[in-house]
Amino acid sequence: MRRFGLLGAVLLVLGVVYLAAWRTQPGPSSGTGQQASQTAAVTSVTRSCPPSPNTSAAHIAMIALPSRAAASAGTAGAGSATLSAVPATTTTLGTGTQRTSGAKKATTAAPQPVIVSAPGALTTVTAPGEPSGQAPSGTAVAASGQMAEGFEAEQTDASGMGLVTCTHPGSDMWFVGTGTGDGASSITLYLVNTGDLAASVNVTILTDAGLQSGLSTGITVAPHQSLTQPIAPFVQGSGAVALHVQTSSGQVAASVWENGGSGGAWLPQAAAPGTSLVIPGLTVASSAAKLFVTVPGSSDAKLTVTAFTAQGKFVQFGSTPVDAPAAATSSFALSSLGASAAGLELTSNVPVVAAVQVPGQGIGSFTTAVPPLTEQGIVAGNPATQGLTVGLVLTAPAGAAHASVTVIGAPGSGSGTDSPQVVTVPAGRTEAVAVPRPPNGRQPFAIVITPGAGSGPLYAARIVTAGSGGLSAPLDSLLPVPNALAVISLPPVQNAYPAILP
Amino acid sequence: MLDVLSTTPQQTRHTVTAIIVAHDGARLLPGLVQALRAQTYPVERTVGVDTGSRDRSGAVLAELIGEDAVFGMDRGTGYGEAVAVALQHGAARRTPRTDPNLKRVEWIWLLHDDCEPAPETLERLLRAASRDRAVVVLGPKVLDGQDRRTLREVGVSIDRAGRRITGIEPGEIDQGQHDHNRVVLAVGSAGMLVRRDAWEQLGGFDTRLKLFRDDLDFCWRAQGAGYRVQVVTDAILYHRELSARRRRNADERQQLRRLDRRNALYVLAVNLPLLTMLRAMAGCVAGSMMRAAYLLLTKQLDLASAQVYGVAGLAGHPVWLWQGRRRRAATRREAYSAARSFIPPGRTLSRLAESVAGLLSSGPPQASGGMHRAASEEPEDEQFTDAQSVVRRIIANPGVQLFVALTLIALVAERRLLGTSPLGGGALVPAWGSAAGLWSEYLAGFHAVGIGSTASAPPYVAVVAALATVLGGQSWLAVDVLLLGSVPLAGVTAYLATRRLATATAARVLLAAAYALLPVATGAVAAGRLGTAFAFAILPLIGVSAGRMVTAPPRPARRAAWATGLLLALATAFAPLAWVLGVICVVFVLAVRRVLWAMDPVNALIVAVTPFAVLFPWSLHLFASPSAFLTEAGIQSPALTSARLGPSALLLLSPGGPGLPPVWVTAGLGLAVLAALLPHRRTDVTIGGWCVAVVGLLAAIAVSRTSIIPAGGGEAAKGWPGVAMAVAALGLLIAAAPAAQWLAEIVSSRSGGVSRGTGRLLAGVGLAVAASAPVLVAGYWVTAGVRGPVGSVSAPVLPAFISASAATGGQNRTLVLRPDGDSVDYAVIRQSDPILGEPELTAAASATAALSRQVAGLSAPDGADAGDPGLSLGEFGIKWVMLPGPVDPLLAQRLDAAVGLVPLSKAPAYDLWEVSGPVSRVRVVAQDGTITPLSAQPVGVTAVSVPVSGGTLELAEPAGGWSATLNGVALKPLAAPVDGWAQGFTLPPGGGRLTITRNDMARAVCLIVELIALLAVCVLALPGKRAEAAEEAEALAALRAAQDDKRAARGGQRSGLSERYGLAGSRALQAARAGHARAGRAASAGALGGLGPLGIGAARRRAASRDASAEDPVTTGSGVGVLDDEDEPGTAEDWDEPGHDPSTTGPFSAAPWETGPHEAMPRETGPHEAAPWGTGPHEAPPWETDPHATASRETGPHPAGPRETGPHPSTPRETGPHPVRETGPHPAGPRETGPHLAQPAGTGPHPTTSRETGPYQAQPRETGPRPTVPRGTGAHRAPSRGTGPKPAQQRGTGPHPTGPQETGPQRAGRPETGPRQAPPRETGSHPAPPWETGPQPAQPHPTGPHPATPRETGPKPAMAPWETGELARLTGGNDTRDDDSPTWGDSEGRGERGWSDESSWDEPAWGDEAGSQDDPARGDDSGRRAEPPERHSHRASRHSRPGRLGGLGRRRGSGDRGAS
Repeated sequence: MRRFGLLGAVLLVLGVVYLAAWRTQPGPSSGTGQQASQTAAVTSVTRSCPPSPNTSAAHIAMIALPSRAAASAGTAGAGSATLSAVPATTTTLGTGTQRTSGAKKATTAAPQPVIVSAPGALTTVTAPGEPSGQAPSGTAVAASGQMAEGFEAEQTDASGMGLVTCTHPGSDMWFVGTGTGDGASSITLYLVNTGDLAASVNVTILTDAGLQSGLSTGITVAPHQSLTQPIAPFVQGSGAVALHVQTSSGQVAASVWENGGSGGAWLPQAAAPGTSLVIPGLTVASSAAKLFVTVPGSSDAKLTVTAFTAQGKFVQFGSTPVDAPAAATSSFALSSLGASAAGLELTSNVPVVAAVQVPGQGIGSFTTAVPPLTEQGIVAGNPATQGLTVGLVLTAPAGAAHASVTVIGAPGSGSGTDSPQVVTVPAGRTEAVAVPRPPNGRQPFAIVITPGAGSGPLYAARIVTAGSGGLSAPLDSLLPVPNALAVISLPPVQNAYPAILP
Repeated sequence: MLDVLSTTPQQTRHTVTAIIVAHDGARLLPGLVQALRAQTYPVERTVGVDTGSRDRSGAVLAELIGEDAVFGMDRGTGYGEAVAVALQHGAARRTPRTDPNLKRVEWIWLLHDDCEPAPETLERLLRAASRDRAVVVLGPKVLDGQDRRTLREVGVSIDRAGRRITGIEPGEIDQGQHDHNRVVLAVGSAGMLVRRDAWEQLGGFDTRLKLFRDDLDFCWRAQGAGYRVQVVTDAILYHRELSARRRRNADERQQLRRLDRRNALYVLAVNLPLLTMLRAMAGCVAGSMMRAAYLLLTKQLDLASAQVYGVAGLAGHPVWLWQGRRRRAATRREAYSAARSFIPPGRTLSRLAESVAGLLSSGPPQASGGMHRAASEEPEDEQFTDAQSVVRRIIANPGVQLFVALTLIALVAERRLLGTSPLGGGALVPAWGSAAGLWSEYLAGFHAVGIGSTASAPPYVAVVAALATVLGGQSWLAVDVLLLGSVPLAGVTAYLATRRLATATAARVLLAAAYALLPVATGAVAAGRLGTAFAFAILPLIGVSAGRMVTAPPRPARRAAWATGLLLALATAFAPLAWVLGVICVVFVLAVRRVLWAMDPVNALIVAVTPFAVLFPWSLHLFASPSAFLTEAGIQSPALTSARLGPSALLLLSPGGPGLPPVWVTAGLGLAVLAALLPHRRTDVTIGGWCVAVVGLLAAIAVSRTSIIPAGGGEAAKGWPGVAMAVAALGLLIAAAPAAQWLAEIVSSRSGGVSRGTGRLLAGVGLAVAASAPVLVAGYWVTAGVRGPVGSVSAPVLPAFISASAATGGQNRTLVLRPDGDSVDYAVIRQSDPILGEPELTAAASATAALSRQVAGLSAPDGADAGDPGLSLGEFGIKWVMLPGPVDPLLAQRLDAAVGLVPLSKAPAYDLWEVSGPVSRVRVVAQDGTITPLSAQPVGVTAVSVPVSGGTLELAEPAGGWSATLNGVALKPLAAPVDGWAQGFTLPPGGGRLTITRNDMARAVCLIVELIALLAVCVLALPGKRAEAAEEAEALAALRAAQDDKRAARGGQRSGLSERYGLAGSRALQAARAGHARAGRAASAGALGGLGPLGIGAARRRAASRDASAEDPVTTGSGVGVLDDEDEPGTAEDWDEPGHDPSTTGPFSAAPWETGPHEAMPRETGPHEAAPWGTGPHEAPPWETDPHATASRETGPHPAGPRETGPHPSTPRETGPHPVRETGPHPAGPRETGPHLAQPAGTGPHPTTSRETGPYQAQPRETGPRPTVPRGTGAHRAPSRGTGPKPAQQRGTGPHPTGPQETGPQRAGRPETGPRQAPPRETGSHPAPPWETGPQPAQPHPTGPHPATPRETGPKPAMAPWETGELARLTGGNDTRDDDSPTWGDSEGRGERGWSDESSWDEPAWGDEAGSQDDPARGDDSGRRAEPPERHSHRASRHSRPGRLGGLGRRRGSGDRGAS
């Protein structure tokens, strides 16, 4: 019996050990634990605004909204934004040769930079351009301190309506729009190099006919120079065109202007290729909207396009996915959205880039896939002109979203900030809300969209309609609302040996 | 006679003055004086000097040669001085009747109190002197005083090392082979005959040489003066060489040793010509220091100090040297060349070569000197006859075969990893570079790696570096050996460890293979876990050491504690968890020490603290970040562990991670281990093993459930429970060992309770199931290969051109980025890829945070908005940013976009960017923001010009520990570090030369502390000489007495089970039963010497029964009675009486012995032997043993008491046997017959002395036997020698045996007469054919090598057998039993040899024992474990002669014991 006693005791102990191991076993979901991302306050911002496509001087509206945390930390002073001209270098690639004249012009006296320091207030300035008669120059905006936090700048027209967002320089950008075969008379690529290094830029053109060669040689943008590159000659009359601007060295800010018969429009910079994209900003007038989809990879995309409207969601093009050919840009005419503002969600099996052309004045307006609003979305240039209605098209594809919309008028307008307007968007719906201009204000104003805590992803576009009918009136301007960040979330990094040998 | 000497027409009259210098030699003096009187040529004058003897020497001398011829001197008087004074004494000047016709030639004859000239000696010396007038110094052939056949000296010389060279093999028998008179360098002072005029001319002995080498020196001077020194080989002197063997003056032993060494050097220093002398001295001093170091290491402090003192004593008296040389120059007539031919060159190397050759040649190892430790001798060795060479024994060793098999398996499985490029990947950092690189990494206080680290390098780097150094400087090879060799190494260590748990080879191999082929091992190899691999291999050794610690007697236990601590520290260096587990186990053992094992809390403390001390600076870091306890050497990464390790995997010892076989492979082993609980054998071992296993399992659970963020940075990962599982596995195997042993025995049909066929079948199935685990793991491993991240790394990541340019000027660094999921890993490399241990050097947190911030900005989208990370990399001295292939395009794009980074190249293997702007490790930032890079060295900066502008001097290293000087003026460090982390200084304008240095004193101090701790622990842990067995045993007994008593009560109930245990067990048990309590302990002490395989439970029971029987006098009585039947019934009662009397130690001890014999003769000796060889199958468990040893000491001690302890220390393993042997037999003698006793007495001492060899010899013991004339003395000696009441008396008055025995007094009168009988004895001996011839052939050379033991002072011990023979014969004259004498002689021989070669003792003895139970001779044989195996055969044949006395073996044994 003793022997069995010992065996029993051991089995009992082993049972306890087993139980202990079982009870302490981590759950299946508990991975190694995601590291909390660090964040960093934005301390310096560089933005590049393209030159005015017209010969008239460009206006630039900008605003910086320091986050409360950063402000209380008081790490930086008020800071300032410095706007300096980036003189142009004209390049024409007619026969494949490149003629540069910028070097000579650079010798002329540069215009004095404009310095602004007004965090929290909307500022509109005239871009420090070159003396009239010269080729228009781009503008570099370098903001620091509190002026860099939550900074947003747009090129506006004279009325203060933001036309295009000033983007920060990068090395990889996509622009998708209509082609010369379908309404565009000219397409112009503006490259602005605000850095100290020459940038070597490669532009890949994907049309509905596929890859277009001709711009295969690199374009060099000298430091602190801008460059205008006509694209139309290389598009060969395609109905849809996508430009992929990459730098192999240096950074540039790129912008694309498409001119239509009675007016042109800027192509907003499209989000990087992805398999799930959300394009906000289709208005009531979008029944004739066109969807352009570029498939950069080598395999065809199968697309499912869903429209979120105020009434619900509609799957476009029937229930079967549509094919988009690889290495090309395809255009799809969107079916009716039921006279409602809408947002589109594209789901694809391969990464795609997409944009939508909404008919309107001139060539119409373009909207494109954007990231959801995180911290705050700001549109700095909104006209307070009589007859124009300013509104927001807000799409919440997954989960109800709510946000507060604040209007900030220009200083001195007597109506600094208003009480915020709270907007709620049900899940899978799109809401169009009109933004009242500041009371008594005739000055342009800024709109700040701040997603509430716990809100679902929210995508927004700012629309301006002309004429009666409010938001249903014909579209005058469409601008996807970018994120204006006061803090940047940094990826977790580790000083770890696997960097050398995984 | 006169006419014989008249060689000239004028009559020459030789007048001889004999000078006797007595020093505690009272017992020997009568013999000497007797011999003097018996000289055929009369000694004219005799002068006696008593140099402060503590015995009655002076009085005895006065009685013998007259008051007026004797005077006394100080005890400290040297020999030379005594002689000089004696020559001035009236008695030496007394002029005899003069005859004018006679030409008187005065001679001085120097005699020691312990020598004894043969009757014709003087005559023959003088006759030789007459032939050549140049010969003024003559010496006789010196034979051993005890064994009168053994040659001691035929002239002496000195070698360049100062050793006294006799040119005679130790133990060489005088067969006339050296007989011819010849001129020699010197003759010994004993019996030296010197012409008085020459003596006076040369000034006699140098009085500064008090004792040793004075004769050599004198003769050398005589040679120098043109005289000749001759040895006369037909003149014979018997000499005991008491001083040289240090048997004299036990209290002055230490001093004698020093004196010996000092005089050796002195003689060389004053007699050699200057140049030769300087050369020889240099050699001697170096040699002495090396010997001292060695002796220090083996903890023979006294010997070591003698070596040092020898040198110091000489160097301390330069004036002496100078005077000595001048004096010698004054008398010198001849050049050194005259003497040179006598001086052999240094023999150190040849002696070394001899001992090495002896080791490699067939036969048992030659030198014992404490070198043969338990681990080096496997019990399996008994399978091999001694004729096999070492090589064959090695090849045939199952452990070696296991190692080879595992190595093959490992090599095949690791085929992918073999090669000469470093291994890397997983947890392993490739070991680039050489051992020197690792050493410098370990030693550095500041590490110029990454962004600079002041952390202590992990100590495993030092271990790998040490191994790499041994392997020729290849650090990758060291890593390969440790990682790839971990499985075979673990197999070997586990095999060694099982030695204490099982004896059956199959069981041991199975256990070891099961351990070595655990999934832990394959996982460790696959993931490159060097830490686990090393700990895995070393764990079994820790187990062995810990086992010894809890089971050995106090002193070895202490040593084992240090060893355990040291091994634990080693394992901790690689896997700190080992320390935690070690502490837990130690605490556990402490907690149960009243129940299971006795452990000294101090030992526990030693084990717990040693790792801290040995790993000192780094161990602090462990406490600073306790999660490091759960990590191990190398990189921690989530990919290397299983985040959700299931409970089944944990219980089946599958640690998770890459490279593991399926979880179920160990299921068979698990079942077998559980089934092993059923046989219910050695429950203590089983329970202990299970406890360890459960601790290991719980630790494994804890580790695998804990998320650990590596200290060096990186992603949090679950711990890998490999080490904990290895501990658990070890515990399981310990628990299963008894059952495995049992099954193996059944299979080999040695025993087993089940009916044979079925039993064997079942056992075979059981073993097969258990063996499934190693077989499956090996199969999986071999077929699948190593599947894991580890692999050969062909080239460093850093391109060569970057390495090259990074080493110059600005000491620029490279930032390596690699995306890892959502996060990014980065590393900063300076000049080359990190080497082993470098990634674990943590940088200052502030510096890491600052850099991480920049790297995050660099790799974040829009990161440029949060500063310009590209530009700020320059502040970290980073010049290049690299993305190693496969390049992540997204990250590459962001880097392309980063401001301040210029793409440099896009190669297939990497993309590289360069940071624009001036980058340098050291730079000056002027007020206006201008940055001036300065060139620097890897650590410091030497004399660089700085710009005149001044500003801030920035060093891209973490702040602290730096100092800078500009033109020699110290710069003021900035109050706050630059950017929160970097070192900065205010640089005044004006320019100049800048020097930046680093102060790493703290690291140096730490290293020194660490080194001291390491050395101290090593010395304490190393096996040293074995000291004071008796004391140890006593201490242990005291420690455990209470425990034993408790256990006894419990054990008594279980004693019935004891039959199951091996022979030894039952033997010991029987002995214990028969004996008295203490006697029983003595008997089982035999079993004690080491850890018996099955011993724990059995021994416990034995102890119990022992105690039980102790209370039962009847048992004892009956045992004795049986014995008496065999022998002499009459004495039985005598024995009984003392047996019950606790105070009478002597007789008391007899009890166990008697009981032993009556069971079976051979057996009786058996148990004794058991003691020395712990390895024997019958061994008792260690802890059991100790008490026994104690007991034996108590009983035995009677003989030994103080004296005995001396010898024991010198032999490593001997402790057990000695007491036993001595005690038992002793009584036997007296009981029987008077004469016999005497013999034992005579013989007794010899074995002892021989065993002790010189240094430890206690004089009294030696003297005891000698005066002892045959009978009686034995009896009285026993009591006196014993711890008993009258040792003093005994020693002082040798002749008066006041022993308790009735025989004592009767013999008291005889000692004096003893010597007188010498002549007859001598003649008698020669004819005695049986033993003389028998042993003689055998004797000569087997003994030769043995004396080579390091400690041994000389050949002396070898004499023993012969001497005893003689004694035996002596006694034989009046004893009817003289037949015994050969046996005695034999036993002597055995004793002596055994001494020098312990390792071979037990096995043959045991082997014999089984078969020879009925053969007394065999019994005898087995008793003589000391005997070297090869002698066995002839010995046996000798013994097989008609056994004379039934109790022969016993008696012999008793003689041994009694005498000692």
